[in-house]
Amino acid sequence: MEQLFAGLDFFATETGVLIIMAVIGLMILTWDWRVALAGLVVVQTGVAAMGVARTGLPAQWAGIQVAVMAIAAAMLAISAVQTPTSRSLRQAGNWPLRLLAVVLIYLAWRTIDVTIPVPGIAPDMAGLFTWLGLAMLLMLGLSDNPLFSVVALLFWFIPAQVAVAGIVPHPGVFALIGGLELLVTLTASYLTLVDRLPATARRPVLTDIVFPDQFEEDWSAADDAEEVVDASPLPGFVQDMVDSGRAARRSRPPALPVTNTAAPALPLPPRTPEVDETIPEQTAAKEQP
Amino acid sequence: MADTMTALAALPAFLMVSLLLLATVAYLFRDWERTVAIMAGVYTGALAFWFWRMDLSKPAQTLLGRPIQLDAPLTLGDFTFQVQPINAPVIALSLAMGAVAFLLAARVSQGHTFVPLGLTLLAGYSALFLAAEGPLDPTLLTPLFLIGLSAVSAFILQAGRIGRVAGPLRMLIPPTLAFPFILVATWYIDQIALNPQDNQPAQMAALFIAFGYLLLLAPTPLHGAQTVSAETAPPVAMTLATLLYQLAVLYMLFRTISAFPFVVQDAPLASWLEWTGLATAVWGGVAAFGAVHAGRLWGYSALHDWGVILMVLATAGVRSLPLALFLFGLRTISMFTAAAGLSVLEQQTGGLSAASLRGAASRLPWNSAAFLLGGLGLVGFPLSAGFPGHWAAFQIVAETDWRQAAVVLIASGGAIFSYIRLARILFGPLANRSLLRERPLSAAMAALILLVSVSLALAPQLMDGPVSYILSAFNG
Repeated sequence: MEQLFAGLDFFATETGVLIIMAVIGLMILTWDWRVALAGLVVVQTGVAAMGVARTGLPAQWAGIQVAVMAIAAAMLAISAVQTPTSRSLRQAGNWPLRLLAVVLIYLAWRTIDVTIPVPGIAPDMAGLFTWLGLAMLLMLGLSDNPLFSVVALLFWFIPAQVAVAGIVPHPGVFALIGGLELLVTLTASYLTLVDRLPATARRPVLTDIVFPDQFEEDWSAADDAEEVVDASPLPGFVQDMVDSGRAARRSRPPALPVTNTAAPALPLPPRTPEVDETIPEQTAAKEQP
Repeated sequence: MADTMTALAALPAFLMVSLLLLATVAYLFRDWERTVAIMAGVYTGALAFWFWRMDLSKPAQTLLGRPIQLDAPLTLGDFTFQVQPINAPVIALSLAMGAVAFLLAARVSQGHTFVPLGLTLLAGYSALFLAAEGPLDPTLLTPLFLIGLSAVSAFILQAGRIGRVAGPLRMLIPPTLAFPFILVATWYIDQIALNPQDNQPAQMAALFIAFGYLLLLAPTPLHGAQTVSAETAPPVAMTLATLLYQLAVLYMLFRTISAFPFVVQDAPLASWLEWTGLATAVWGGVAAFGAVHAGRLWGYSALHDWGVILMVLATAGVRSLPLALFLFGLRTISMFTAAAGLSVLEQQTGGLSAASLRGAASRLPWNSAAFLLGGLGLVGFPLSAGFPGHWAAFQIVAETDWRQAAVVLIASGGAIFSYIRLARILFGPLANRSLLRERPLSAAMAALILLVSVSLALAPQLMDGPVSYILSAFNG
């Protein structure tokens, strides 16, 4: 374990701190569960490596911390993969908005230059912890989405556990905090499933006794939110780019075949719409005379 | 084996293990919801009564023919749990809340897992109250306990309902935010012993602990869990989860102040409580004024009441603590009264929006009255259970600054206006003619709750005995 964290000691340098801060910013900008969960493990590993190198955090404790975070990320990933919609029902604005928010928070922080004083923690490390705290508040403020909210709360657990390990060097407290991390993640995993499942609502039949206000609700949202399982390994925005690239290639005119120009062109048979045999209605329609 | 039996013979073990065992049984038989709820209600009610009547001056007693030592400690790992005169009344109160909630859940389902998880929650809160020793002082570990208990509460509040999850989610935020501050304070507390002449460690520790407890008290803007849960969660489940959390925070705050008196002297906790309490009470009243959804209105009324309690806590003097406990007792009764009515209204009408409730009082008069009177009690309306407490609170706050009392009074007026508007909707023309009339048993239960509520409004001195008893616990 010591060797593993010795290999990661570049996180304890200024470049390492900047990398961790950039990863946090990227997680907020992309607002994609894959990036968020991968980034969470990277941030945890980086902070744990920094704790081992700078604060004397035992490597075994740091290893347990990284393992707990990896399990938490896996639990959240399982919930995210099972959800039937590709995007959160409570998306946190678009990326320019989030970029502005991140830049604004960063500039405000650098201008005011506030750092939470933590005993036994060097100022630059305390600065990183403050940035983690600000990122947590920003993520909590941007959305009520359970997955991103718990990622924000786990951001808070990461520095707290390193700081507490130095202040209260009691394995019981350290283990208790790790267990609570998993419990909070379990709760958020459940809430992620419940939040993202589209509510099954039946469109009311318009009669004289139905209140008109029942038709003001957006029924189309419930209709559109099904049958789209987002389990691809790529983040949503990357997948969108890949899909648009494929679509562009498909729309290109095919290369002309080499034909005998002297031969007369044969008349093509009239095109019939393609029938998907797996859809019973279409198969039945095809079989009808 | 003999050691295990000895450990189980300790009262803390009996309490926690029996609650967890009952929770397991309740989970296995969760489909028989009503039976399980009644069973849990009767058991927790009996336990509450036993703890309430417990005489710890004579710790050697007999239970079912076997001698037991009431104050025998239970050691689990680094923790020691023990029944003491300071925690027995609070445990009794929390068990009594559980009993009322389970009996109300026997009337209207609060979700299949409400009873088993509610019992688990009671076992967890009992453990927090019973904690006498730990790797750190148990008062400093409160946020960690509360994170775990809030996570369990989230399942009760969501109750398998597909949709908005903001309420249960936000319940996790205050204790998670608070725990590093309180744990960092331990380092400064250790420094005090090393250098008693230096006052700075005490000041830093006081600041960290005070700020941590301020976060745990969840004033505005950390109030989201309470108001959103009132809108989306089953009403009785929301009442139990919220009241247990708030009782635990209040009790542990007083234990902390008792253990570390410098928290009050070296940190501006009173000032913070005064201003955040004022903001909470005002925001609760203003938001209630704009709320048409019955659940949201109830949630903001409860928030207003919580703000008044925080303001009373900030007031220095000997009257502050008894009054805060008196207010909390009345809050408990008002919230359960409103929840009893609201749960039936929600079940019968299918929702708590104004459209769903239009004219519902013509078919559900007793439950509608219970909701209105309970809600009005939370904003201190005359002839409701909350009125005596709010009136006394206004007088105490006005002695310090009459403008604050006036602002809170105006804010409560906004909430009262909203209840009058909702009463007009409830007692207006009936929209859903297929709405069933309330059953006699349901009406009788609502009438009984109303009777308790009105009795306390007319004779608030009935609360003197219980408040004095609980006060002994809070004073340590």
